[in-house]
Amino acid sequence: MNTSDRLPRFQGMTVPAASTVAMLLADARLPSGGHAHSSGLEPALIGGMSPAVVAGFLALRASTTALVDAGTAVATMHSVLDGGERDGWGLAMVERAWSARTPSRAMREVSRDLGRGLLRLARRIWPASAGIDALDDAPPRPLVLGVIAAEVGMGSEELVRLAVYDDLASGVAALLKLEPRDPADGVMLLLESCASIEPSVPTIAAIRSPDDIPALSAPQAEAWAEQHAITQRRLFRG
Amino acid sequence: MVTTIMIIITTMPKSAPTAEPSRISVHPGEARVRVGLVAGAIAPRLIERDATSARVALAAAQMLLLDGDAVRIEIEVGAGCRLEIEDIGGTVAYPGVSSWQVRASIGQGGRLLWRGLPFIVTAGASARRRSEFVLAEGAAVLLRETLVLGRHGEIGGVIDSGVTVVGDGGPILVERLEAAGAFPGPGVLGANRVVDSVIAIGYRPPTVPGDLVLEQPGAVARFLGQQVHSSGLDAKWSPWRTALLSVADSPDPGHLIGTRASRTQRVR
Repeated sequence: MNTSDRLPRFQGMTVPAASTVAMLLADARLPSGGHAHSSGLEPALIGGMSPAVVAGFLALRASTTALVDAGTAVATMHSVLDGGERDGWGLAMVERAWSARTPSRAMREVSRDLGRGLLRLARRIWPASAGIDALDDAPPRPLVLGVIAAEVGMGSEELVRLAVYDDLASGVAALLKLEPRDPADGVMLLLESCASIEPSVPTIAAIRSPDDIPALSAPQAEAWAEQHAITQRRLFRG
Repeated sequence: MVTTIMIIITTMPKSAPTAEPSRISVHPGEARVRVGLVAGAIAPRLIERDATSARVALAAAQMLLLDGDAVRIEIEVGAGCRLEIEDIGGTVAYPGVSSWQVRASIGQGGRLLWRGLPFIVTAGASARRRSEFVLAEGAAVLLRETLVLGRHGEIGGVIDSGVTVVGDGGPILVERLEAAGAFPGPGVLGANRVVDSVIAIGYRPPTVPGDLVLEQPGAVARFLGQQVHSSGLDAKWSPWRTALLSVADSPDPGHLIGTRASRTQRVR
């Protein structure tokens, strides 16, 4: 695949490598507002989940919500790269597939909140990107990840791992604030939950059509998210 | 040859009764709707019909769901018609591998209401459910789906249950639940053995905080708990049914699917 024609035009700058951009996007220091989110962890704890089962919670978050997002990001990237977006329907179909798999309005709003922050930053970095330009002001987070990945020529598997890692790392960072413990335990939890989806990575990375985005659901997490959205006592937005 | 036939008869005793799908169709008629009923493992029975609607009851024609059973139900609701389905009894998935597949297509402005009774996955059962609803423009569905892991006091088996509702502009609800009584998953079902849902698609029913309000017209009310009788969703059915029927009386395009879908319609 010829990637040269979709690399960003950085005038007077060296073009960043796709891997560098992936690290940047996974970095908690990225000024896109990710620190305000707990990836469903605070909703779970407020909803009564015991901190003792957080490892199971993260692994299931990885195989449900996080894989829906990862698949959505991959479908978005291909929609941009394969020219679907030029015909004006590609990203709308991907967004529709994502929203059909995200029945909780609270979860959709959280994702769009994250997407808005990420998109604001992406527009500064890649002002001439057609894929980034095609998005509305508050697209779901995985759509923004997908257009950035298309812009920088990121590999599909790297994109899947980025989407999952970023989501779970937010949850673990929130856990350390809400239920303080040895930060090294948090690192172990994060690596274990990321590793749990490795068998699915090639399948998710091979997605082209939005119809193939996985749809495993987490009804209890959806209920927690809806309750969390209307509670006053919370540190995180979702 | 005789041996081969014997093997087929002795190893697949239940395949014949469950091989043919049950079929229910409702189409516009002159004085009353035309209703087509074909019995498979599930036997449909006409309760009543009038100029635009039919009510059909579903009962098991045999003991269900045993190891190897594959139940299929195909539903067709013609343009402008209403089909209301009632289950006569719940369904029990006994130990073994079984499947339950529903495919429904609802024509323009059609309505399908299916008040399902509990689907119980016993210990040692591995049940796969697939429910697919394809809605034409202005069509709507109201469904009740109650999944129960295990009979009373029993650790339930494994369920893989998918629900897909597609409108003329694309998917509206796509979800798949994987759960097992032996491995309660925090965030999926937690320690709950009952997941009860009322699913309304194609219109906006009256919702309260906690209901899942879909992006496209539609909503899901859900109860997670230990006992079916603790679910408050019985009380949801009537107002959501009333809301659906009143959409038919006042065709406000804002309530119908297809209005937001115009830009995506041409890709299908």
